[in-house]
Amino acid sequence: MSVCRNWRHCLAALLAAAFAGLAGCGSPDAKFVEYRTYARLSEKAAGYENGFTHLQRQDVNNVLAALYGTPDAPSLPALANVDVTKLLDISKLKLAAGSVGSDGKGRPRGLYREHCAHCHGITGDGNGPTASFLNPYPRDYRAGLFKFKSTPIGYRPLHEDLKKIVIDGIPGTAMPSFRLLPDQEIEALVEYVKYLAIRGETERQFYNGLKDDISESDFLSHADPAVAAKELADGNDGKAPAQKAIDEKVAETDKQRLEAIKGYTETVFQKWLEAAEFMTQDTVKVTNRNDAMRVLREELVAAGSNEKKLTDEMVLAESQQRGRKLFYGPIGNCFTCHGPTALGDGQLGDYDGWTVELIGKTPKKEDIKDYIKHGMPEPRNIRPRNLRHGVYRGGMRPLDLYWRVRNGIEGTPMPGNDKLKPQEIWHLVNYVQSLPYEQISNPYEAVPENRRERN
Amino acid sequence: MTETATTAKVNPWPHRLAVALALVTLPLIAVGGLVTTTDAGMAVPDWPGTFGYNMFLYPLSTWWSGPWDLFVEHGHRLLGALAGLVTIGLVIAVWLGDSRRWMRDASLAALGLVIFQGVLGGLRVLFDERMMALVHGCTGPLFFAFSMCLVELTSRTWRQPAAAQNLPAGRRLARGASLAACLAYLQLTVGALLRHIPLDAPPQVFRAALLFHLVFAGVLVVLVGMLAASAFAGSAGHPSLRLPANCLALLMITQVWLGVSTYVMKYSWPAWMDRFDFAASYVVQEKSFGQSLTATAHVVCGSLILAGLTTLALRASRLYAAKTSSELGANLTLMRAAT
Repeated sequence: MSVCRNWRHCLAALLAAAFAGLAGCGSPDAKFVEYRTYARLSEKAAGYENGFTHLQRQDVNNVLAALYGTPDAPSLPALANVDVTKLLDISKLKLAAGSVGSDGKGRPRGLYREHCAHCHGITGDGNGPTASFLNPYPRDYRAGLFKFKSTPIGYRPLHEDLKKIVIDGIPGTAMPSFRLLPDQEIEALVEYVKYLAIRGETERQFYNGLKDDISESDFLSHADPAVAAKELADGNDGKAPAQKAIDEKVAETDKQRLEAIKGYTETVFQKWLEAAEFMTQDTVKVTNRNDAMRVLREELVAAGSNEKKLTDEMVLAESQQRGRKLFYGPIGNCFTCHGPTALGDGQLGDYDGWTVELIGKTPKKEDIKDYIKHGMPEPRNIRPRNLRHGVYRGGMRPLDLYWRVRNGIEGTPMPGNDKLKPQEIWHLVNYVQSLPYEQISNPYEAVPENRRERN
Repeated sequence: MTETATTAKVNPWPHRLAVALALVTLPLIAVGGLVTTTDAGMAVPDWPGTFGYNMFLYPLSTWWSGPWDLFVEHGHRLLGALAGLVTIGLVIAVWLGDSRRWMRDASLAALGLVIFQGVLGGLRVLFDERMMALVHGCTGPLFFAFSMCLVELTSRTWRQPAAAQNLPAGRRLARGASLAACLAYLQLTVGALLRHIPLDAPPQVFRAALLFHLVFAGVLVVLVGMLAASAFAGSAGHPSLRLPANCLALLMITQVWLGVSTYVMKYSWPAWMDRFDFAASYVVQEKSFGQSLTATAHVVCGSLILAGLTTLALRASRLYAAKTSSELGANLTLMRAAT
């Protein structure tokens, strides 16, 4: 009996302890994490032996929080020269921010954490809990670079470009299609991705500022009175300055630095706004594929082909033949990376731009180790696409392929090609789209055929 | 309790209610899995009420025709409450109709566990804490396995004298099933960690948990295969072990298939498979019906495997590890006293 009573007491005590322990728990506020890899890169570039101080980094975080808020309560900076509302909608950001849940009417909140943060991380650093085993790694938004877009390399993506990837997903990767979500929720996610990218880019700008304009012991947002006093003394034959002079110097420097912060932030927003403006120019508008085929037909007729006997299939075959020449020719030069058989086995030793930025194209072991310590994922070689699958990660439409050829793929060795005329790009697209239907693409015949072709 | 006593008329209500408890708990786990899969855990922000209503008085039409996440979460709460009520009924039935002291303790333990689980679920909502959801997710299958034990322990067969044999292969089977049940539970907790991973956890944690989950899956497949073969056809084979052995073999095959499907439907095929057209062109459909169903079925199947192994361990112990069921009961009491 006493054994039984003791057992019950033990159980009761265990339950009480468990409840007490759990009652002490609570969800801590989500926090943005520091951009440690870029801070490290800036430190190295500035030659700071000991790196930025903890207070300097804290200062950057404080300024960022003042401008952009927190993961639970995002905000947008008020900038004199840029209308940030043209780019970001705070009401949509609030739908995507915060912890996951909904109200009684089913209006969601925390959409980003529900759908994206597991892979892309709360900060959008591409370092969420599931990131390390995914291949390719989830995108790190903070450089503002996105692979699949209609804008050329160097330009930020359009809202529609990001939305397309969110809706369609990326085949063969862990990036899912969110097609089943309501449009309002997809819009909110895209806005939040832009927000995180812009915030990350601003952080980069701040570290650039620390690297370029500010001494090792100085701060981004405010001046150090000791540094101000030293500067005043240096300019006055070493005589100690009056406190009033120091205060005035500090106030003046603080004002300049706040202006600099606004300047850095405006630069980032302007880059995103520029992309939309750039894409309205006539020179970058896409020529219709049908127009390209019509022009080719006219060329063939002018060269002596019988117009009545010239079928669409014959025009397409000619276009593909021209595309093939470009593929293997010096202007297109596609085979160098995609391989002579287009199996994506040409150049296999490259890294993506996010990695190269940190460790270079031929990395040293100690650099890799150093940046991994600061949050960089284990470097992996980037593989050119196997064009014989007929699966293109940036989109399956001919227009998507046109953009890839013309604009390149940001952050990868795939370059944009401004030497090709629009019509030539369409020839190349037609050839690339024909590759999966060639006999060599049949998996049962591919290996011996390819081997012969390579040899 | 003597063997003579067991032949006397046995009150059927404890067994009936234990069966009812298991039957309520399984869909409860399924709906709980759906809550996690569809991220509906915070669809109702208060607890124990629902949007200010008493849980049981929340308007049926609002629940039924409301948003999906509210439907799932409130449904989970109602099923949980039903499981609690059935457990209370079971405790009363056992105290009135079963004179075995350890059985009464076991029924009280079930009540303690269901209360603990309910409070955990409530605290998960009040604190909006994923780690608490993880613990909640691990306690559910444990409770289901325990309810299956109660089904076994209250059954008429259990109370009849067992023709116990002193067979080394039988003892190995009992020990193996117990070990497999512990491993299955460990595997289940790692699975729960994968589903409830905190968003600020370093990537290495998820990676390690996933590798662990895969390795343990392999170990369990081999172990359960050996146990099923032994229970079915080996020298320790016995008619009463065949049903759990058959079920376990089927469940393991299903579980491996569900595990692979869950992974692929969430994270796509591994990168090395992109040489195949089907893998290279596969696009994950987030929040699709198939994705939700597969992940939830994987959770339910894991709980069933744990319950199956527990049942097999109990039956094998009864047959081979102890001379009589009452001796096993005495052994259990002594083990509890020792701990």
